[in-house]
Amino acid sequence: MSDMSGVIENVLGSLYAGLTIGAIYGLMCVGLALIFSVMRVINFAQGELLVGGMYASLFLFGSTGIGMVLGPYAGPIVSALLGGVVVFVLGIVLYALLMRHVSGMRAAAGDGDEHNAQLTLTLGISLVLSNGGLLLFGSMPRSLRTPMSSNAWPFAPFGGDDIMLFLNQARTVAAVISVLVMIACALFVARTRTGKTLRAAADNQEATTYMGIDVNRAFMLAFGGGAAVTGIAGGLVAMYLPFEPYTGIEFIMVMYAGVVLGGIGSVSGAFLGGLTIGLVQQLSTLVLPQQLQNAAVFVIFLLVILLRPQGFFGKVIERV
Amino acid sequence: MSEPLEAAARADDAHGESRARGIGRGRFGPMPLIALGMLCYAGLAWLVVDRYVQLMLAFVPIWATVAIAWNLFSGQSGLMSFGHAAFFGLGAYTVAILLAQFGVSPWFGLVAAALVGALAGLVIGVPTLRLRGHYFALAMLAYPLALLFVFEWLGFQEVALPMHREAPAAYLQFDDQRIYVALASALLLVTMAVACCVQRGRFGLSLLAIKQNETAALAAGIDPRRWKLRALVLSSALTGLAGGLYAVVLLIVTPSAVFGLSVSAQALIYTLFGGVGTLFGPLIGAAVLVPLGELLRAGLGDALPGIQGVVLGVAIILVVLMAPQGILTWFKDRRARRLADPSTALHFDPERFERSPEESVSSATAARRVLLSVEGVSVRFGGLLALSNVSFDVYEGEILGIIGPNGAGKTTLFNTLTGFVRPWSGSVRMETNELVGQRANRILEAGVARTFQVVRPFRRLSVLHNVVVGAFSREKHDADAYRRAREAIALVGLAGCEARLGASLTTVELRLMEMARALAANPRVLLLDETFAGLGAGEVEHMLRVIATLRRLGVTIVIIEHTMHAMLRLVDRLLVLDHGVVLAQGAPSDVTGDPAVIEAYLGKRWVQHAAH
Amino acid sequence: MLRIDALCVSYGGARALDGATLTVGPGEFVAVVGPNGAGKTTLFRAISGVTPIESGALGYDGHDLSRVAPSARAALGIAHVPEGRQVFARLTVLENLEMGAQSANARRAWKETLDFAFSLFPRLHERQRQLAGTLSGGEQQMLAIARGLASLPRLLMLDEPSMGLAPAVVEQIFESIQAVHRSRGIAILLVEQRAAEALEACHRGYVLESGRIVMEGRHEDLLRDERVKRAYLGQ
Repeated sequence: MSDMSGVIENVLGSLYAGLTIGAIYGLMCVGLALIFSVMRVINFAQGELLVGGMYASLFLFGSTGIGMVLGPYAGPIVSALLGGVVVFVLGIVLYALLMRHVSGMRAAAGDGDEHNAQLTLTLGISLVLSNGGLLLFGSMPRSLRTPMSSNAWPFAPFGGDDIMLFLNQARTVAAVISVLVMIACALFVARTRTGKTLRAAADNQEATTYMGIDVNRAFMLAFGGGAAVTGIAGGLVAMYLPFEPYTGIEFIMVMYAGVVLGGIGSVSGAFLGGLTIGLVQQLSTLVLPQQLQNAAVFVIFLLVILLRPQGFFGKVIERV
Repeated sequence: MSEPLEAAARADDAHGESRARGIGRGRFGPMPLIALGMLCYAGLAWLVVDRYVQLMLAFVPIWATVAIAWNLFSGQSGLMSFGHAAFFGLGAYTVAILLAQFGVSPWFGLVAAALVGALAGLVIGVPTLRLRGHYFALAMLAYPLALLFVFEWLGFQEVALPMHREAPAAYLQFDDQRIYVALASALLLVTMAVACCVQRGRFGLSLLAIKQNETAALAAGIDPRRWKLRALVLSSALTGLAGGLYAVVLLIVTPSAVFGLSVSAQALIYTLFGGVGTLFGPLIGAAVLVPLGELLRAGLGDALPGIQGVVLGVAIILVVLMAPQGILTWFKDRRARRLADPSTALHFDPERFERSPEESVSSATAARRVLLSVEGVSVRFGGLLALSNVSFDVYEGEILGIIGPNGAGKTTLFNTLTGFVRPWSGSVRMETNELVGQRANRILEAGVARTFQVVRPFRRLSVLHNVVVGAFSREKHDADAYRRAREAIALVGLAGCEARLGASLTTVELRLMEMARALAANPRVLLLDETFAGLGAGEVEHMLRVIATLRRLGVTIVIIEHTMHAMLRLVDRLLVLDHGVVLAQGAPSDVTGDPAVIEAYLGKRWVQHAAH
Repeated sequence: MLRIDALCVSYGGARALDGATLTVGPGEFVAVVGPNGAGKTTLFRAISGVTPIESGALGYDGHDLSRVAPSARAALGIAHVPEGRQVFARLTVLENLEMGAQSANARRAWKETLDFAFSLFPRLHERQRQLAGTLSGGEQQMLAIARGLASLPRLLMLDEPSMGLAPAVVEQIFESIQAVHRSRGIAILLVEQRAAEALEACHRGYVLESGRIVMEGRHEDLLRDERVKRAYLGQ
């Protein structure tokens, strides 16, 4: 009987881990999807924007007194959110200085060269940001350690003592915040004027210009917004995972896998895609040895790209 | 049919020959120079005493090889590969594992590395090359990272190449690192030779055509899938070889070092920095950036960790913003602009090809054989019927004009005739040969060639190189292909322009070049898509004469056009399409007077108003 | 109001407009007809700023349009209903209309705009929450026109509204355009291939052929003129 309990505990534990980590992955993917669906840019630097959020959150929590004022429970959350603002500014600056030159109406002309230029530019930005981070912050791993990181809530799903789950506090809180931010994002994109403008720009750049909307400004907002959302996810990850400047590389594949799985062009699909990736990754610990878990993500990614590139969760509209 | 074409054009051959000499000469032109350069390099390395510098000097050719191999595929085809690290890593591990676990000498290991690389290229290429744009880039990104984790799992976190002191040479292990420099230089030499051979020949030009406009390349008889796969396999074999040598020099292989993103990134960056699609670009990029990176790391690496990554990133950002095709290409473009020679203007010898206007319309009396027969063709796009039960015949030697309001389905008809669109029903027969269901390059071989509305030439290559791509489908030997190309160029009146760069052509010259490319495939039926759009009066005249000449030489022509006054002087018969249906066909005067046709163009009420 | 002088524009490597000259006065309904490839769409793209002009003057209400950024031209009161509709397929009908109303004035008049649009095009009212990409061709054209009107323009430019639509629908669309002109009194510049419908509806017309204006006149004169037919179908 105890064997059975052990197995059930493992399964439920992995399921829970998958859901929580998946929710956070989902938020990261939403950020990437925002950028990709509006600007059609594969942003190599998205991993670095994630890490940017981590460092911003750490700095805000420790050095600006937020941690002092708001304490170890609300503090990290607020730092993560404010860290998102910092990354928003970073995104805007990156767009205005660099990305602007290779996207917008010119790139829409469909020239293959422009498309490659975007990829390469973001690769360059990724290198500068990750190595620049190394220069500024050093390679020692940091983390936003609070009592939440190492505490867990005990939870007995079936009552009694047989099956006991330990829900890591930091991860749980991060997951909940992720879902809330995602909902806020979805509402923003669906209901607000700016959100609709972004969707219009994603749909048809030329018509958007005819409406009197500055497509470049829309792109800038999309880039900054997407960066911010991923940055917030970074701040949330920082609550339970140590990080250093090169951490971004570990997550970039997860983000792309989630976006592709969700269906390129769908922001809500991206969240579900990220969630799925998280679940797959954690559930695979039950059957696969550690090193292969990450490989599992790639395999899923490749299978989706090769067999169903349009993804699973997105909406597909045929143009009349 | 082809004989009069060739005979008449051969007379032009001598004329064009003298101007065009020097193009296509000697595929291996720069090789002796490169070999000399390598020897100097290896020789200079001999003078170096510092072991660290020796090692670096060995790495430069290895990375240059990786970059050149990457360029061979991505630079020529335009498909960015972020996954070449997969081949590099597999090559490195092949050599390492063969030596460490099976005691096989790296001399054989290197050969195996190249083979493994090639095999990996094939296995990865077949499913992945089907993908477009973003998806391709993302998929390629995933392969090396997946392999990284797999190799870690397999227990190959660190494979050291064991020392064989008893017979070091037999195991490619030398105390004197300068020998590695020599080996690496030899590898680079081989790679450059391959690149030379590829880029200046049929292989490179076909890839370039695919990069510029895959549809047009297909219409010119090039099979994109096959060429892309060949390029990838060649590229991956060389990259695997480079990885193998890397393992030999470094004596240790770890997954993150050989499968990591930085390997793919480096290949890309060195090539982009130096010049995409050029022969020397990747070499220059590696020669500048590898030592720069090393110097930065060695000199400032302790005080400023990561500085070489920052500098590399900044370098690539600057290149993308200021010289997106690379530094070498930027210089080439500037030189080309300064040397632009507008004096080789359009040349058309009226004596040779003058003909009386009566001749053009007299084909009505000649015996008329049906060359192309279209029957009951219907095409659906989703729920929309783009073509509905279209039937007509094209007679040998005639000029048939296809007209109709916007959206009538004219281009869809051309796409159907040339195999780009599959009809829902109906048949298209060239004599007895059924064309429906055949691929575009097969249809070209059957004798149906076409031009496109938007012409995208090879901007940095000569007119001759632009045109010869069309001849590759007909000629196995390059010399014959170039001859055909010259004939076609002379035929359209561009004789003397063979050496001009694609970027310097005017609109009418571009259209004529497009036509020459189609003619180089020696077609029996030529489909012209809006050849007269936007041309001035004199240019229209020239175009009319060229087309009339072609007809006299036996080419059957079907032309879509809106410029009515030009059409009426040119065509024997007209066919009117509207909303995918044939409204009328016959002699021009009959068709333009047909009330149904007038209604289609001008609206129903026109006829009513005109009656008052 | 709109003044175009000797406009030269290249598009896709070819000379699309070669010295075109035309004017539209306030409240006038002007049609530009001509065969395919004449340069009609390029004309609109030049006015909207999407395609740069090589030479010539482009004036609107005294402004030199070439100095005004493309996205600022809508604010001047120019609404462009593009060729092929170009509705935002993944936005709903209502959201499409919202996108048309960018300026503060337009937003203030939102309720009236909606009422007018739905009375003119009842079908849009039925389908207001549907995604624009799922509408039929005719419905999309109605939506595109309503979207253009939502910006409270003083000049409404319509690029080939009949393209790809069945004849019965085309009639409806043209009737709606005339209704708009009657009730709103805004200037309308209509570009069309189907000469008869366009010329019937307008006050004045121009014939564009191979990038040049070859004829102009009042609509009743053009309707009977053989030369118009020749521009399309040659001699």
